[in-house]
Amino acid sequence: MKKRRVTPLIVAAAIWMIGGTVWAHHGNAAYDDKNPITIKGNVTEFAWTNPHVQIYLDVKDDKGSVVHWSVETYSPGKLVRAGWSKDSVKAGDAVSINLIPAKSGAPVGFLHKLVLPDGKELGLSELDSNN
Amino acid sequence: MRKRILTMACVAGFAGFLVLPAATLAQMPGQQPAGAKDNASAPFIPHDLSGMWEFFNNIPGQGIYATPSKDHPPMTPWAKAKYDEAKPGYGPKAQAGGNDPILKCDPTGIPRLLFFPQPFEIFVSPERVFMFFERDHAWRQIWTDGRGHPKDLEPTWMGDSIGKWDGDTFVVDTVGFNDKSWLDFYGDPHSEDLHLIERYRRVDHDNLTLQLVVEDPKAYTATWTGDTKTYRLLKGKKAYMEELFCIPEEEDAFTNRIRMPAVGQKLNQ
Repeated sequence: MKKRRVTPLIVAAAIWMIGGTVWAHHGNAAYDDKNPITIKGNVTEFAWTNPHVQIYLDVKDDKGSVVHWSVETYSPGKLVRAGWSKDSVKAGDAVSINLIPAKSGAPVGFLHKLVLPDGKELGLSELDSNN
Repeated sequence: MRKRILTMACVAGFAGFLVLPAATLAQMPGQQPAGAKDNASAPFIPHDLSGMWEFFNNIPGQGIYATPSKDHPPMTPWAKAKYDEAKPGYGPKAQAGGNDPILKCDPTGIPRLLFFPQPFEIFVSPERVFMFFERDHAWRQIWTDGRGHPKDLEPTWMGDSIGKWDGDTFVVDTVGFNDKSWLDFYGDPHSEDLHLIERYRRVDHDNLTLQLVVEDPKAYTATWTGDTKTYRLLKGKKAYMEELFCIPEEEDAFTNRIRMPAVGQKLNQ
C-alpha cells in the first residue's frame, strides 16, 4: 500500500525532472526525451548559426571505434541569454554533453547540458544564468 | 506582503512539483534561483507594456511550442481536410519530417509568432503599438488612434490590428488574415475569416499574460478560447534580441546535417 502511494510521486518527480525546458522547447518527434544520455568526445566543429546551434564531435564507443556525433541546441540568441557565446566551444575541446538521442538510433541528439574542459557547465535555462 | 508572497510561493511550489515541469516552476514569482534578482513585486504601470518579453508556457504537458489551448473546438469539413494534410513536428500529430510551412521559410504569421520561445519587444508610439519579434525579424503594428478596420482588406500574414484598453487589459482585435499560415505548432488551420482577439495584461512588473480568442466559423464550429499564456520581462543583459531571419540555405543545411540524420534519412544532394 505504501509502495502504491509512493509510485505516483516518483512518476511525478520523473516527469518534473525530465519534462523541463528541453521537452518543453523540443517536444520534437525525432528525439527520445525520456532517455537522456551523456557522451564525451573531442569537438570537430562548433556551428554558431541559425536556426539552431550545432556541435559536432568524435566519440569513442565501447569498442574503441570513433563515432561522429551531431548535436543540436537552441538558436544563438537564446544561448546568449543562457550564458553562452560564439566562443564558448572550439574545435579540439574535450567536452561532455548530456543530450536526448535520436529515436532512430543515429548518433544525433539534442543538447541538455555541456561541460567544458575546465569544468564549466553551460545549460539551456535563461532563468538560471545571471550573465 | 512579503510573508504572503512567500506563503503563496510555497503552496504554488508544492502543487507545481506534482504537476508542472521544472521550467515552469522556475518561472513562478519567488521561485527564481539564488542570485537572480526578483523584482516581480517592483512598482509598475499597468498600461505600460513596453519592454522585451519572452514566452514561457505554463501549461503542463503542452511544451513551449504551443497552441491557443490543448483541445481545439470541432473543425468544419474544410478545416479537417487541411488538418489531415498537415504533418507537424509538435503536438498530438507530431511526426519526424513533415510539411510545416515555416520549414521553407514561409512567414510564421499571427498568432503563431506569439508561441515561439524567442522574445518580442513591445514599443508604444502615440498612435500605434508595435511588436518586434526576434523570430523572423518580423513586426506588426496595432493602431490605437481609434480607427476601425478598413473595408475590403487584402488578406495578409499578420492581419490588420486595432487595439484599445479595457480597464487594465489591452485588447487587440485583428482581421484580414490570409489562410496560408498554420494557427499554431500543431498544424491547426485557420481561414481568411479568422477574427483574433488578444487580451494582454501586465499582472506585475515582470509578467505579462495573454488570452487568445479565435473566432473562425469557416474553420471551427465554436469560438476557441485559449489558455492564459505568460511572458516574462527580459532585463539587463538578457534584454537582447539577435538577428534571426529564416534563411532557406540555413534551414536546408540544418535539415541535411541534423533533421534528416536524426530520423535516419540520408542527406539531400
